[in-house]
Amino acid sequence: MGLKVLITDDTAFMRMTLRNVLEKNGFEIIAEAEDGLQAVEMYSNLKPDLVTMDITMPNMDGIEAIKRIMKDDPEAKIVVVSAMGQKTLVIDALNSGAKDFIVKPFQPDRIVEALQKVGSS
Amino acid sequence: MGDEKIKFNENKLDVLRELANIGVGNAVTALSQMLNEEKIGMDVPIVDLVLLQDVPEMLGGAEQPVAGVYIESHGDLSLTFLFVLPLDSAARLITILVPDSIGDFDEMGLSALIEVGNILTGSYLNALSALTNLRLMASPPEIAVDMSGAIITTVVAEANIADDKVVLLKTSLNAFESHIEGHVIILPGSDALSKIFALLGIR
Repeated sequence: MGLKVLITDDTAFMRMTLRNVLEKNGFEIIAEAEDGLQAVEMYSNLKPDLVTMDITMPNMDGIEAIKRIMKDDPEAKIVVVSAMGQKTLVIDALNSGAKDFIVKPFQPDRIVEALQKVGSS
Repeated sequence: MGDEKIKFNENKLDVLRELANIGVGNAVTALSQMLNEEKIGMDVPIVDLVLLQDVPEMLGGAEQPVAGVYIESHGDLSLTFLFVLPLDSAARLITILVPDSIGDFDEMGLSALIEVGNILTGSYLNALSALTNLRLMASPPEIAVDMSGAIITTVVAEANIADDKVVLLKTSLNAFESHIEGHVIILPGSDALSKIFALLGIR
């Protein structure tokens, strides 16, 4: 049975792209969140194995969402997938509890490997 | 508005051109990865003090229908980004990115354009941040399909640009194999330029 993933991104196109890549590689997408607020709620209701998290989103950004999810579940496995790859931001995300940081545009291999690695840790 | 007082000499414009080159170069790399295309041409960036009313001409005319993705950066610098594509290029971009699309400007098509704008801007900001050590965050993008004149008017209003003369950075991108052309326009916000020049030690 594939690992259950919650996808978080404000762009429908990116959610679709991630879904296609991950489903092809054996992951099960259990939900899609459009912003950090939805991600926090869905995490709490669905308890996915893995979360992909964008940073730039309306209502609640990814860093804030990571902090809230980690507060409720310190074991949460969150991988950031964002166009913003600046050093300070990457450090913020990792310090907040993200396990990896992937900069868009990404190669499918990169994200599959990252989720497999984090998922099995 | 601190930037009115900046005296723009060739030296300063050259610095901005170089920054624009580096930033957009990074963005072009990202775009070529998204399109799976090796050769994306980039014109030498135009950096100039222009009258806002002249900007639509630079995009093919005020009545030219275009798709425009608009993003504001905040954090240490405020910059306005506009990624503009003529409609036929926008449609071609959508067919490349969205499986089974015929180039419609439907929800998924527009979303794909938004994401391209997002990634181009992110690449630019990442490069600028690496050079200057500034923290540069972007807003969620907005998109409009309209005449270029209308889009410029809206962007100017939303970005609160009060001057009629602005420093404009414009680069044209050309994906030769896919026949897609687009323009990246960057309007520095108030004080952005003085901050950059101060950081780089340029008088």
